[in-house]
Amino acid sequence: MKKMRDFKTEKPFYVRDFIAVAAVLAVLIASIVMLTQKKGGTVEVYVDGKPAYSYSLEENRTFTVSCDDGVNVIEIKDGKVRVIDADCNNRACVKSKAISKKGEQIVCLPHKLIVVVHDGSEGELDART
Amino acid sequence: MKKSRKVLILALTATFILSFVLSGCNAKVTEDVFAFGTVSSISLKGKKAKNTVKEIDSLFTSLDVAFDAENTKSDVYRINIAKENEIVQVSAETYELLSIAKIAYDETDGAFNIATYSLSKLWRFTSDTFSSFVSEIPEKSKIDEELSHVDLGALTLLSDNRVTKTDARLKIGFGAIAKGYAGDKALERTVKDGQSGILNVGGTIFTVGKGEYKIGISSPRDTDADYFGKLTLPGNSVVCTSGDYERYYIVDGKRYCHIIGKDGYPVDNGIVSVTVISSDAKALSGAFCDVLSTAVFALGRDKGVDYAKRYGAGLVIIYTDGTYETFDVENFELKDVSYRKR
Repeated sequence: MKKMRDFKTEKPFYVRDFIAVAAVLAVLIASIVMLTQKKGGTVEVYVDGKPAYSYSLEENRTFTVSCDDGVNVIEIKDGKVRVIDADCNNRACVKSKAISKKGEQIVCLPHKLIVVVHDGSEGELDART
Repeated sequence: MKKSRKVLILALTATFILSFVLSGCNAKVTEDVFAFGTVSSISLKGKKAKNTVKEIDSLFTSLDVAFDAENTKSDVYRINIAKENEIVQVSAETYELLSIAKIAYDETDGAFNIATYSLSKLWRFTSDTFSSFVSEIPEKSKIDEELSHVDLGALTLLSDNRVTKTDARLKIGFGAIAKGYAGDKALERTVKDGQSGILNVGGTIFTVGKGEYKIGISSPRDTDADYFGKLTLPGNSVVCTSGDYERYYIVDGKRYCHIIGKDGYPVDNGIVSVTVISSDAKALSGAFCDVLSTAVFALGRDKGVDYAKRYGAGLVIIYTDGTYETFDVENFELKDVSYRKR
């Protein structure tokens, strides 16, 4: 009698157990995969502190970023990104060298624009001075 | 059996929730702040890191208003337009920064001078005048005229955060020290115990909390190397660099950098960049690291190295002939092999 009852009440639990364990494992595996996944570099463009564009560093393209104060023309070519033209007053961004490594950035202060490389190779630094 | 299964589910659920909560706690919060004529990157993790990053953002924004020589609401602007012997009331922060600047001016015999603002403007190195594409340098007569109004001794600090000056044409700029000072205040006022990360205030870098931090020194010229060299530092360190490659222009093949020397011309003494390292932000502050990097650059190698030694600062100096030297620096690793040891 006791055995019967146990068997009956336990069976649905067994299925739920399995689902619960499977779900937890799935989340665990997914997070491990996401954490260890190696992505190619991406180019992120921020305007006034807000993310505006995000492109792969691996695909060549040229695009124009407009802000209230003007435009910057950005070129991604052969795994490197640079600002090829701008109508800001000092054009220091145009003078900046092409970047490709994680954490490197090009800044256009008058336009409050930052071009930064994320998740690329050799991201061995916490900061640059 | 039933019990053990329940325990298993409970344990797994607990682990799941705990890891979720912990990862949430440890999530790095990063924000870019435009202030002090540059961009700062604040990156912190730990309890309430998000709040702290927000506080730093507003702290920097308010200090920027007080320190920006071009902002008509700023303390600096009001000092600059003040008449002879007029008394100007400033904030405690501006007063403190002026005290630091005056000490550095006296100790370096005028080589570190915040009163070269008009000269910087003439040379087009201030934020509002700067251009990377300049075709001619200022006339000597104009430089000489400005040079007669750069004596910081003409500025007197009175009691109760009041200042006055005996030369109406004396104009100051905080560009050389605002970043380090802002970082100091962020550490003092906003960062909590248990938080860790990096405050990169426009190149003046503060390492926060436990851990080991890898700080790159930029390559001063366009070489193949990713960066010049790497410093491995514990928390509570400060690193900053003054170089001839950040705000500069080239006229007739000659490089002109933003640091103005005592002769009224951009410093040209064989130094490309000076990196200053403080192993204890409390003993040697960010503001003073900023002072030292500019001062060593302006003083030149021998006098500069002596001056930095007085404050126990570490130095990495790169020279125009492609050599470099380190002084009192541990854990430095050269990356750009186009440079050799002097």
